[in-house]
Amino acid sequence: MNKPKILVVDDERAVAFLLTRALESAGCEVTALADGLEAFERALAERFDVILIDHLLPGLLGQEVVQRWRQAGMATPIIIVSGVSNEEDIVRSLESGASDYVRKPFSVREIIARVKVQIRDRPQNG
Amino acid sequence: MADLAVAVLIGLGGLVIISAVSLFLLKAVSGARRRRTAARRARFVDLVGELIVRGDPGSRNFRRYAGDPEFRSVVLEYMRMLQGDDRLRLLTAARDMGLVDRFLKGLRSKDRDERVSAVEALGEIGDPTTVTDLVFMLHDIVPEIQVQAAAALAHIGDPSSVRSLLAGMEHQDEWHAQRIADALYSFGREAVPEMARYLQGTGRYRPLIARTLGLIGDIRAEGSLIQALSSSDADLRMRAAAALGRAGTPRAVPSLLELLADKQWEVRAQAASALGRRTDRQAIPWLRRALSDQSWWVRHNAASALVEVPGGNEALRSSLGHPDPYARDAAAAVLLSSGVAGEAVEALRSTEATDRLAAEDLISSLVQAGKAEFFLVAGLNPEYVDALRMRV
Repeated sequence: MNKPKILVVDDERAVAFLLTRALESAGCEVTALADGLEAFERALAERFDVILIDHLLPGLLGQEVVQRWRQAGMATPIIIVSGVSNEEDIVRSLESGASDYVRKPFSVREIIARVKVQIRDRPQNG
Repeated sequence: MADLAVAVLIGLGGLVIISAVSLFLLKAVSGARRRRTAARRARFVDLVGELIVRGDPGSRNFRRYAGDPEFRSVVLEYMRMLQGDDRLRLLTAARDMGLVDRFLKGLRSKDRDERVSAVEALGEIGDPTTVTDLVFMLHDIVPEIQVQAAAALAHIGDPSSVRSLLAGMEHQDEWHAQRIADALYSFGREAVPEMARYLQGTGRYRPLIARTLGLIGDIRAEGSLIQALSSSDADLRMRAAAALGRAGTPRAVPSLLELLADKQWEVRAQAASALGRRTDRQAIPWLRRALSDQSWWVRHNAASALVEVPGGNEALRSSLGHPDPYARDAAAAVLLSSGVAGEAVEALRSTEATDRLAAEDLISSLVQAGKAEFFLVAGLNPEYVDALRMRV
């Protein structure tokens, strides 16, 4: 069975490294990027099973990237990981097309569990 | 003369060249230093990240890095990022690496900035074993450090430190006392019993604590807050009334009703607002009487409170016929601003005759109370409004 392919987009090196290593330990193949625009193009060119994206990225907000992906017809499950945790922001992120929202500080185990849920439910998500 | 000018020019040129070379060297050195720091930081990010993922207890090997500010900053960055078991594991690792000891040592530094960063770091690490040392910092000579220590203690959340925080407030100015009150608010319910006890004493900042208790909103403080309503300190009576408005039960209502006769208008105004939040019907006649208070704020708050209390709207409408013109004006102003008058304009188009008649009665009373302008702006026919003004 192929390893699930995960795209991690975060400009904070520590977050990106931790998520990458944790997901690799959980048996995933991970690509980590720091830039929103680069991530946008990469995810359209390459198939990923789940995308984890930071909310506050330089240049382009995570939310905007998600919106553009959805407008481009991309159906990959997307989890927004954010230090901004007010209700309005979470609602806006989910309305922009995100499948899930994780607040910082987070638990690595919880993020892995959420990624696994998205992989498990993928056929239903289309 | 010409020789001298040439010599000066050569001298100046030399000076420019030396300056440019020095600047270049300086930039090159600082750039190299920045790159070295970034590379070191990247290495620490990988090392600590790996440690978190593997849950490796071999963190003692990292003791040699504990003196490096970049390493400490990376550990704190991961601390801020994580929660749950991952955070606990990192906390254990931070102890093993000697980081906690190093920050504890920083608390005793003669250097103010070092003490500040040590307190901040211990707050972020959140190690319960450091509570006693942080409590000690509440007596630091620098008020800013005391406030940072309060915030750190709140982050750790050990309720045994609440009493020390309250004691530490006493010798602060108002600004710093407010910051400590913010820390107490962060404790939440855990801090309530000790704060309620403080309220029963003679502490200088009882009004601030009454306010904080209201924000936390825990019923266990109600007894102390009710008791504070009979204090000789008007500020405390006012804050306690506001807190009971936010977090009181029906038990607080009789004491708040009595407060409507307080000698200070600020206290009466706050009591009226609090009664509006408590929404107890028994307050209606008291609030109606308060519509004739000598203070505009009390009249306004009493009228606003009547809108909130079930059945209070009727009392407010009937107050439009009050013999006191100030009471009539307060009632009319709130009926307009609360949207009741607007609803009456809508109700004029109702298919139910009784609704139309009730709306017309209310509009007529408001027009007679001098509020015709509102209905003209709302689009009612001026002749119709004039007719309502004349209606008996």
